[in-house]
Amino acid sequence: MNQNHRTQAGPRFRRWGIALLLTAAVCGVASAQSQPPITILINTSPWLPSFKSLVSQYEKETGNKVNLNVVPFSAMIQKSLNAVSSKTSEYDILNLNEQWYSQFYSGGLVTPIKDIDPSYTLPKQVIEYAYADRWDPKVGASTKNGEVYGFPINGNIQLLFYRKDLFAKHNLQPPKTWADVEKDAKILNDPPNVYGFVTRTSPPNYNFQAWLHSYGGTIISLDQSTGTWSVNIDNAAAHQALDEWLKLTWSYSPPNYANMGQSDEISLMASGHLAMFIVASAAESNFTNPNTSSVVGKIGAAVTPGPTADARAPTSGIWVMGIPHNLPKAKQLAAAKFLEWAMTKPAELAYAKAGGVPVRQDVYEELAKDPKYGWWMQAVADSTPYIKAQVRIKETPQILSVIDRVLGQAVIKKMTADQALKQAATEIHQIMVKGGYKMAPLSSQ
Amino acid sequence: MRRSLTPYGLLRTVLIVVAVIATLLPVLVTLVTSFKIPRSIIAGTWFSTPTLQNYAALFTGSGNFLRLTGNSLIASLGSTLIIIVVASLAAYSLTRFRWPRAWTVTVIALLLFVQMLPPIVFVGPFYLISRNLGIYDTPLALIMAYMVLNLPLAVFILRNFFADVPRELEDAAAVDGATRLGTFTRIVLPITTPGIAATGILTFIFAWNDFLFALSLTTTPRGMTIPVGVANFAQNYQILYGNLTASAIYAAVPAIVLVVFAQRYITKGLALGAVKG
Amino acid sequence: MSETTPVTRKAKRPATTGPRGVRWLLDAGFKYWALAPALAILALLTLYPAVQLIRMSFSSVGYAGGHIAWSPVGLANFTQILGDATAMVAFRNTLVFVAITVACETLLGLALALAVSESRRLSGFYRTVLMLPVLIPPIGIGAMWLMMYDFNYGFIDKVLSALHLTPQPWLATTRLAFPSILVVDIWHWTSFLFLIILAGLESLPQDINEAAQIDGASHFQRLWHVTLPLLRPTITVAAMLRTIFAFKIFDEIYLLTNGGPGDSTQVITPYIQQVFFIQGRMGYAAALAVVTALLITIFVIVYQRVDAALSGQG
Repeated sequence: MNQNHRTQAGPRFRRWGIALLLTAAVCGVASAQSQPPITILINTSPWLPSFKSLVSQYEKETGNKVNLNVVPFSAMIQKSLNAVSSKTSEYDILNLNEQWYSQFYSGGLVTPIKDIDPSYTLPKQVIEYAYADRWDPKVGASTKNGEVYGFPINGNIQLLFYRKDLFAKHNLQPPKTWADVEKDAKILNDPPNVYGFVTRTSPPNYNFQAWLHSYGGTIISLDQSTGTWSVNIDNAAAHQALDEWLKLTWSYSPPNYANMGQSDEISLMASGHLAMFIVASAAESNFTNPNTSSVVGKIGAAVTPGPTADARAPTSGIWVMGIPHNLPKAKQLAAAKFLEWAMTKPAELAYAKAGGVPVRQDVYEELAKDPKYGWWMQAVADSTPYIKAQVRIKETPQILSVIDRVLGQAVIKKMTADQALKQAATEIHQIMVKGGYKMAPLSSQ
Repeated sequence: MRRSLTPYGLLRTVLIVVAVIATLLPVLVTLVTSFKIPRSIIAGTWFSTPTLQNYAALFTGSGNFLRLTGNSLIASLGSTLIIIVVASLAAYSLTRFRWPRAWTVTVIALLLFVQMLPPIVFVGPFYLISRNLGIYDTPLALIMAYMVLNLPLAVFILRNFFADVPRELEDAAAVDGATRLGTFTRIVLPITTPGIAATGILTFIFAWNDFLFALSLTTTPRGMTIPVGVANFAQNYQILYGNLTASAIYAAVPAIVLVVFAQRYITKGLALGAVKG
Repeated sequence: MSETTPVTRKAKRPATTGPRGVRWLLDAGFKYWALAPALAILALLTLYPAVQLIRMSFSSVGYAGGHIAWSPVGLANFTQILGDATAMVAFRNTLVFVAITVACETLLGLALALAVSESRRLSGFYRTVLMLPVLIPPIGIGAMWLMMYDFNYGFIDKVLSALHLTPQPWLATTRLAFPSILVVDIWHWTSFLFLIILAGLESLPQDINEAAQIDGASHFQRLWHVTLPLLRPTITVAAMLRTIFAFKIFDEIYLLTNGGPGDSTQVITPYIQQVFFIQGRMGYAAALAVVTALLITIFVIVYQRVDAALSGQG
């Protein structure tokens, strides 16, 4: 009787109890990690497939859902602005390009991580690309003391890509100085089969900054102690840089040098008609893919040259991921959790192995030894100490379009280099005065 | 045959032949390119083993072109049908009835003004409207946008054709006791078929090829149309010429089918007979 | 535009008179409810954006603290245009571009429409082929011509090399870039003019033409004195619409030259896009858009005047 009673009620009670405990345990574990699904805005690019694999890994590991909205590059800024201007953003994470992220930081359109997840600190191994991830609203620039507003996701910097087979044939080493570049380009220049060197002229501002920064020049700079900005594009360093850049543009390029876009110069290299050029590291995938490249295995990568071997200045052209301000707290937290996960070493390592451009120094150093990735990752690892930033204020796109315009005129010789820089300085100074910045007077050269 | 030997006939033939060749040449170059591997395209070789990979890429992986085609068809056909009906009625009303002069001038000015505004003016507001109405990222949002984009154009072209309809026909119909609507559908429309066909083709094509609104009002393949898919191949680091040319050819095919079908209506013959006898 | 006299309703009224039902209402008020849908659509969807645009052009609009902030600046945006080198060049280039392309496309479209309408055999083939260009998405047109014009792997230069002639950098010199873009636009849009004018030709009443032929008029005389005057309204409408569209050209320029080399192919619409979205200066972009609309208005008024003058003659 008692036994009967027990066989019915006892084990059943125990079974229910165990079931309950298990459920509670599962829920407990899940609630620590489970987040509402998030949507990320991203563009079609060479690193999209690797980002997709990063996302699916996150989904597998945590069970959280991530949706990707893939749009053309030309739509990114428009859609990002639309999203942050509406009542509730349709995207939980935005991909912001270095050339326009300042608009989002300064306009308060993305929320700093401190306001979402106060306990989080960015790992030391994450390269900050001259503090591209930070913003100091008081100063109006990306400085060391600013809060983290965006997570770097795409660590694009400029590299020198060169035909190592041609260099080997002529017993040349990859150039370390601009003088070396000229010498090597002259030797290898064999039009129309191989051109010695091309620069990007459509638009030119990003490419030019590799020269400008290597000579120690800058477009603008901030004196943090006084809070005064100065326009430096008309200084001696800038003149030297532009003269060198123009010389290389005119001397060893095909006749269409005045309209050389990024896609054009990459195609030239991939079809075997170019000896060397400077471009963002993300271009590497075009050279290893037999579907697009006639020179598979023949391309090497090196740190961008400078006037001396110590004065190099690969300029960053990164993408950061920001969380829009107009989202409910739960969504912002979910987005933050994904970004924090993406910054960890295992995630970054997997991302790099899938073809992405990672942002952690330790990942670069580890993969630099890897035969598959080392050919370009070594160069990136070596470049880290030299990385320079682009202009990062709200008026950046306006300033860059001034640079584009005057450089374009200089390339077609409608303006001399001196006139071009003087014009640029005057206009940029005006732009910043209008923007309300405290400006040092324009020094007349 | 005799006609073509006159100087005028010769000129005519030469003009047509040159025009046809000039029109087809870039299209053929694009067609051939679409069957090349990207490596051969940028290497500039004349011939290379043909490949279907560029077309395959449209439908596999993240190409999604079947879905995009469906959306394009719904958005373009839907907006065209609505526009044809609305614009025909409006054009008929404006041309065949007595309106105060000031009123017609105002309406024309309004239509022109809307047509003149750069489309980016509408991007922001339409984005907000479509999100509020819940039609964002669907072909319905695009139908809304295309109605605005193409309606003035349609009214203008149709006004022109409706104005040419001979008065006597309508008066005859009135004598026979037809309603105004009946006159419109049974007498006037058949005569203006060339104009309506031309307008229909144009509104369809402008909707079919629109990029700006498709870009702003959609964000996933649920709503995206073919031009957005095509633009995905013009990337920042490399323009994927193989895929781009393949998608451009593909995008033109439905429009060509429509034109082959509709251009039959842009022929003489329907105008004849009505007035004679 | 052709003036029209109202249809006189002295004839017997339709059978729907009598009980003043809905059908009578529909019939009597036909002219109103026929026009209403068009006006309603436009009023609902365009009034607000148009007003916003004008308001923006008199303000400085930007993002601050997560919101769009407006501050009135009077005419400052407009005066800024005068000092903006890029904008001035863009306007100048656009006006030249529009004038040349519309003139060429109208003449070519007219000539082709006249030629094709008279052909008997292969007429359907000609029509379909000549309408092709406008059927291809603009971004496809840009890519297509990039592959014709490219210096290193483009079709034209490959042919030139094969014929031992010097290949030209079509898109990379100030001398050649603008004409190259003109060719692309003419190739693209002549079919638009062709289509409309052909439809107009096919709707012309044939009796006048036949009467003239019987009277012994030559082909050319018939063309000049009969066909063209009747076609004039169609040509005017088509050219006017094409002019409006020409101001909005974007995709082809963006892909082919992006405004370069220098600013020889900089036109206004890409610049407005850049200022609005990338530079974030929405007020200034709105002012540029308003000025563009005013320029188009001037063109339209000129068309109307010329058309009225010609119709007075004819």
